[in-house]
Amino acid sequence: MFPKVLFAILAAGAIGAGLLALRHQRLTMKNEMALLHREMDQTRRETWDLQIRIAERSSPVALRDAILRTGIELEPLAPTDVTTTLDPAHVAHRRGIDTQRTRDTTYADGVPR
Amino acid sequence: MFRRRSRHPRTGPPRSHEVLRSRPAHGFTHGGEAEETQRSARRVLWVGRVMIVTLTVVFLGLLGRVAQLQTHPEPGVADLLDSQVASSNVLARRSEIFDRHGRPLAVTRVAQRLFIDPRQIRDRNTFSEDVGYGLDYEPAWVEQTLAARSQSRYIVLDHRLTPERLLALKNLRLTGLATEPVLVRDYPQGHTAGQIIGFVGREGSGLDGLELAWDKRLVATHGSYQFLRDARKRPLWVQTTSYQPQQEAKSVRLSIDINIQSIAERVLGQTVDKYNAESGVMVIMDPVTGEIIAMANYPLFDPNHFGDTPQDARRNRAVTDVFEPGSTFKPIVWAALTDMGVMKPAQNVDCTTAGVWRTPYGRNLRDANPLGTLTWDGVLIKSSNIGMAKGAEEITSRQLYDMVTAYGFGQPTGSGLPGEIGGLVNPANKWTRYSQSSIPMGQEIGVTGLQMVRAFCVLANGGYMVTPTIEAVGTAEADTRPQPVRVLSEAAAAHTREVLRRVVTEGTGRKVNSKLYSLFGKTGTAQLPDPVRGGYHQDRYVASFLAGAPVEDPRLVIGCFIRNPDKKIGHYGGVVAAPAVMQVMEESLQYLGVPTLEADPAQRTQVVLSQ
Repeated sequence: MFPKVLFAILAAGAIGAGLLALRHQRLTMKNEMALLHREMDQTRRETWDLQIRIAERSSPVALRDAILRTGIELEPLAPTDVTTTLDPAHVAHRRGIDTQRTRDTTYADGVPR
Repeated sequence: MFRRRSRHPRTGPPRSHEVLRSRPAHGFTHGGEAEETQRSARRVLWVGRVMIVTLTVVFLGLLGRVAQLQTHPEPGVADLLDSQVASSNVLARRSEIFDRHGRPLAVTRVAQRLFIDPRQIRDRNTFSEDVGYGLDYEPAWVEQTLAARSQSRYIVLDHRLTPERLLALKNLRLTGLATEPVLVRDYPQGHTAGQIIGFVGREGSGLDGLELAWDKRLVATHGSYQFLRDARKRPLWVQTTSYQPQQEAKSVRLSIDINIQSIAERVLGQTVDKYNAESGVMVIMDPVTGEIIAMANYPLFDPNHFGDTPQDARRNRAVTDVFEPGSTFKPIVWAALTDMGVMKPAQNVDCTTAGVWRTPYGRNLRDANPLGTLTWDGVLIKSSNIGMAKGAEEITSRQLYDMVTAYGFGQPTGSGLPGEIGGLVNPANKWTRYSQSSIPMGQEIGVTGLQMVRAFCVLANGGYMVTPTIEAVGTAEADTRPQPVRVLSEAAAAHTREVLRRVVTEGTGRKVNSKLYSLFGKTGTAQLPDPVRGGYHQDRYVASFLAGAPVEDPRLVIGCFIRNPDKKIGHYGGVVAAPAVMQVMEESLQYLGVPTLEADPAQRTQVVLSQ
């Protein structure tokens, strides 16, 4: 009888210890998650700051000032591949209107001039 | 379950309970030894039973306690539990506003607010000086701020700490000072497009411009969560069931190109300053899509410092200010009269050798110079008031009214810009006989800069009336605009462009005959009305110029309106506004990659074909 009772107590103890270890592991992970959450939040804020700093330093006014300070004379680049410089949306609308243009080439009074 | 007792006696050694219960088979026993064994066995059994019962009771008690703590904890325990749970916000940013290429115009970030808790101050006598000299504030001002709300425990000293001051604060190590994170709106492009974007107040709600008009659209809802803390208030973990995610709205992409906007603002500012003018407006539109590429106002306005700017400078004058367009209105009426066929391009019009013509109803009309007889084309090229009035006499006032309203004058353009007004067009039944000759030369009608540029787009895009948009094409809002409406035939629009090209090569716009691009345009010099005495000021004008380029397939239409330039320096549209338009047009088209007139002809042909 005694060995059985002892075994039962030890088994219960082992199961309890195992459960406690698992619980501790779960809480540790939750804690790590919380830390990661805070870190993520902090990173978001830093990203916002960086976004603004980049925008401020690369604004047309800031770039122009920087170029003037350095005294470099810049010229506009001549387009080499003109088709890629056009905004696709712009071209699409233009084509739509061009189609109508070809159909409508006389004045409203019907007299071609 | 009970095991059934066997009828047959079992062989083998006796079990313990058998030992305890059985009697000796023979009279002979070992006496005390056996009894001792029995007693020991009984004790073990008894101890085992007691332990089982005790453990069961203890576990039941624990379970009960857990259940009680979960459901009805004592007030003391509840307070302790509450102090271990804290809640925090998941910050949600107000939506960003970008330009057409995704460059940020308005962005929200986290800043630190500096405040004082007077009860935490150790040495009240030296506090103001320590803060003032340590963080670069005026010590007297710090003292005044403290004294003004001495009973409060929350006295805000700085709503937005600069990075330098934040660093200095960390090194200062002064009690009584604290910071808290707050969301602030930043405008990284500074004054670029400041009047369009507007600004938000310290509470985070829009107060002007698009920030105000789109306040509900841009606003975000903060999320929240609860977390457990340890005894030292350090966060342990987030309670997942309490997590409410933040809700951020979709960002907005404007049709504005900040590079072109920046060019426009720079050149406009130089022009206004050069001619010592009151203010200036420049609007740039894509005539095909109706997108507003730039809308510059001068004086400039930086939304980052809205408190330091007079209210007058915050106004987007391109849509809120009305003026008489003067001669820039002539191409609109001229094109319509030509399209209707009442005036022929080669038809002669007598603009008198005296430069004065008396209308049938007794009004004297004058040209700036005697022009004699001109063709109908020449009337526009030389900007003859007499010629335009004679042309308009060929139609009824109702026809003229319909013509004016067909171009959208007298009603807002539908651009969605806040504060936009519709201008002033008298109802047809209130027109006088003078209206028939005044309106064709841009008088007796009030327009906004945007309305004028939109009307000019009709000439540039083959006769279509587009609805301007401040949002880029491709966004849902821009794509749900009304479809373009034809108000002029393609041929009339093309012919008007050719004639307006001659305005630049041989007419009033000669000074801006660009060597890089073929501009077509019209100058205007309109006297400002005198609301006090009636009539017009003799020395106050709006100098304007509207132009498009390249003439064969216009990419941009630009309108520049300079209010009240110094007459001693210059006041004509061709002198004041036209050079600004030419400069902006040249820089913008080069930026857009449109080949110049100097470029290889084969390349230019390729562009036309590709379009």
